[in-house]
Amino acid sequence: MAVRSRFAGGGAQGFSLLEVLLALAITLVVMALVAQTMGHVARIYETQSDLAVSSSAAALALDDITYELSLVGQGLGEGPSAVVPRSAGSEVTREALTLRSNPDVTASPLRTELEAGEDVGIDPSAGFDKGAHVLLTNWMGGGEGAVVVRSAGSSVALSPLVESEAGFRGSYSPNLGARVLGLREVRYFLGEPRADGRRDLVKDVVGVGPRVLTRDVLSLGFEYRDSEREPISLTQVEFTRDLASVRVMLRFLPGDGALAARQLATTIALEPRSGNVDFERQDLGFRLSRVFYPIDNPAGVASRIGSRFALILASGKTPSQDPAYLYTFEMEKRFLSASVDDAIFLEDVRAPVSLTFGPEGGPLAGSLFVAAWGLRIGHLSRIAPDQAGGLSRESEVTTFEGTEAIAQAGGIAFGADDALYVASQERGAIFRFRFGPKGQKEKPGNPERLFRLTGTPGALVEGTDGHLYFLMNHGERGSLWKMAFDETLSPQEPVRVSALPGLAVSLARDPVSGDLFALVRDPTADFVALELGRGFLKGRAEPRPLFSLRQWREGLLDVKTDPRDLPFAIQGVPALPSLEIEELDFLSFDSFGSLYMGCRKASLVLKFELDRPSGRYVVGLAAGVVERGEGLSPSIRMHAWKKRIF
Amino acid sequence: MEKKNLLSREEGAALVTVLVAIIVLLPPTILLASLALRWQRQSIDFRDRIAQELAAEGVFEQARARLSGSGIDLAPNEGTTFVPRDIDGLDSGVRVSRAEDVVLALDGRLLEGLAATSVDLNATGTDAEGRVVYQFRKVEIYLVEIDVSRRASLPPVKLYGVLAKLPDGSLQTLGLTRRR
Repeated sequence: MAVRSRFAGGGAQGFSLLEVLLALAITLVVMALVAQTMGHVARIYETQSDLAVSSSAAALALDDITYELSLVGQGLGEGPSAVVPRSAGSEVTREALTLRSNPDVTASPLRTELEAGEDVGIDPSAGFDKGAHVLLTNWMGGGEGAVVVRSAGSSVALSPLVESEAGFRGSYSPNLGARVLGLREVRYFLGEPRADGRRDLVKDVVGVGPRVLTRDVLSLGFEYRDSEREPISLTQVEFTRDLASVRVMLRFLPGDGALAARQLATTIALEPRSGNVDFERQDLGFRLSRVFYPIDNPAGVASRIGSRFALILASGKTPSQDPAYLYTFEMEKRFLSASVDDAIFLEDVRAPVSLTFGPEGGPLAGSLFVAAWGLRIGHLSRIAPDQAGGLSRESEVTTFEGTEAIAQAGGIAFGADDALYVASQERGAIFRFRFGPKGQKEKPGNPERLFRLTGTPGALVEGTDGHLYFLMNHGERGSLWKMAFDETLSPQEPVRVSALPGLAVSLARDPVSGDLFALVRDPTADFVALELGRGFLKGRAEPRPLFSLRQWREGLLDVKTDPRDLPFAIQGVPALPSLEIEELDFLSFDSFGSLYMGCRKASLVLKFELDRPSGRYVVGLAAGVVERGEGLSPSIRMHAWKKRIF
Repeated sequence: MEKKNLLSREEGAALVTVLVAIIVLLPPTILLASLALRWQRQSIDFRDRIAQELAAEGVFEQARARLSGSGIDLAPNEGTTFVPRDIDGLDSGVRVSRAEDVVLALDGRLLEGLAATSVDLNATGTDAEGRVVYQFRKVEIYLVEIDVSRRASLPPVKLYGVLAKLPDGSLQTLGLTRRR
């Protein structure tokens, strides 16, 4: 009211000195506060600007590395090292990376041996110009940078990219499958640290020059991983073919006033850059190497790991009356080997149907267990190793008390807990026999019925994962089942893995690949051997048919017109068995990876060597796309090379 | 209504004060805003570019699946296009073309054109261990061109893939080229 009265009065009364001073003081205080706030805002602005610029630069640098990694190896094909964890001429380090590619897909084999500075013959269409950077490689892989110092169409002269008095580090000649490839090399590395500890991240494209991507880097790290995401040692990165991804981590300090470092990280999966074409014909995958004949009612083949001998379990001519026997033979005949095939008769064993060796490393190691068929009661027998550790006529044979569990046994196998498991067809169940610590001297405990099954269980084997797998039939429909063991080695309720295309007959594990093989009778009454790979066991792939009895028989008649060409069985047996067999009863592997299939009706066992891919006749093929200008369709360039040279 | 009683020289003082405040505060505000917008734009571009690249890879897998099945059946020098399955907010074009078949020789030579047609593809040999080895293998070559774009202000991502169909019908990726 007082102020208004003064204004109202026309200002005649004025302000007192005190009032003016007070107003001035308040104004100064307010101005000081405003100035201070403005100072804060300015500092925040400056800091945020630095942060934004630095973060953007760091993100863009990371993006640049990601992009270059997505191109790595393009046009090079398999063999040359495309990802090299070091800079030129330095030791391997986590802080540097060299990436190689061949974006123009120029390549040629070397026609003559390479000497530094001398002309070497190449494919005239390759088109290497003077000054071009190239990569030299040979069948051993790796790679060495070089530069074209002279080019004359069908020949070029090369000089090492990294100058050295000794010339090229490697040897490059046509005999070694040497190739010369176009090269784009990109290097990432950190510059020397400045006073504040920050470093420049530099990208150096060879032939173009270096440029700084970002300046505030504290550390840069590259980690290399395989397809299982397991880390790969830095020294192995250049040489491994398992490199599947690269993880990049970038720590930086954004701006001068930054309080804390920031980190950006990303993982880049590497793309496939080439293909392989195998020239081996795989459709004749099973080579017959021996015929065992006559073997009365063969039931299976087994061999102990480390032994040179395998054995065939056979019944007599009349299984329920004649004693069973083990036909032993050397798996791989050696030069000057004097060993002869032998037969060990098992006087107390009748009608054997399945066999397995005791688990290695335990008290039952070396013992062979045989399950014998019975309509209601079956028997389990143990053939203990002799004093020399093998099975012979001196081996002690013990037949345990008959039990319903063994009646019509589909298969027997030892589990991860060293107990013997029996798949009983008669009882439709899985039984377990436990053995005490005394091993050979002790009979097993009473069988325990673990799981009841609806269906007819068959052959039982231990997979490489330590779980038991067995066959099951429901009428004519077969399937594979799995009985897993938990951490305490307790067996778990069996679960169905997948269906098989027909009646399941036999099951075995290939000791070389670790894959399971099943023998099935398909709906056309053909007997087919199927490879049950890891994809099948995980329910993601179909079983792979590898062998058809019908096709094999037809092929055999085509190829072997003279039956004397066929290898045959036991010395002194003059008659050649007929291979016109219609059915097969079992499939087994020996410890060398040879496959055996037996036919009870024909009294023979066939031994096959599996055509495992040798990798000797593989040709590599790489391709890339080159754009030829706006509006023109891109063209494919490709090159091929023999992957192994002999 | 209450009558305003102001000195004549004090009229408009508030306006001046506001103007001064605006003049002083506007530049830093504009700078900060532009910085924030630029940063945001970069982030969005970065995100969109990643989305484009991932979409291009997905479309490539679709093309590969069609080639490995019976979805695309082409003769040499023929091409076709197809509409990829739903990729939200992205425009994409796919062209699959089959190039001239090539023939690989056992010694690692690549035969193209006339040289490729004059060899006996059934010629085989047998090595010392009885392995049957082909002398030549024919390979079908397919080029997959993928163009994915999100908006006009962002350059499209181009992905070229070269696929080989081997004699056993399996497909192998021989190379991938990206263009930003």
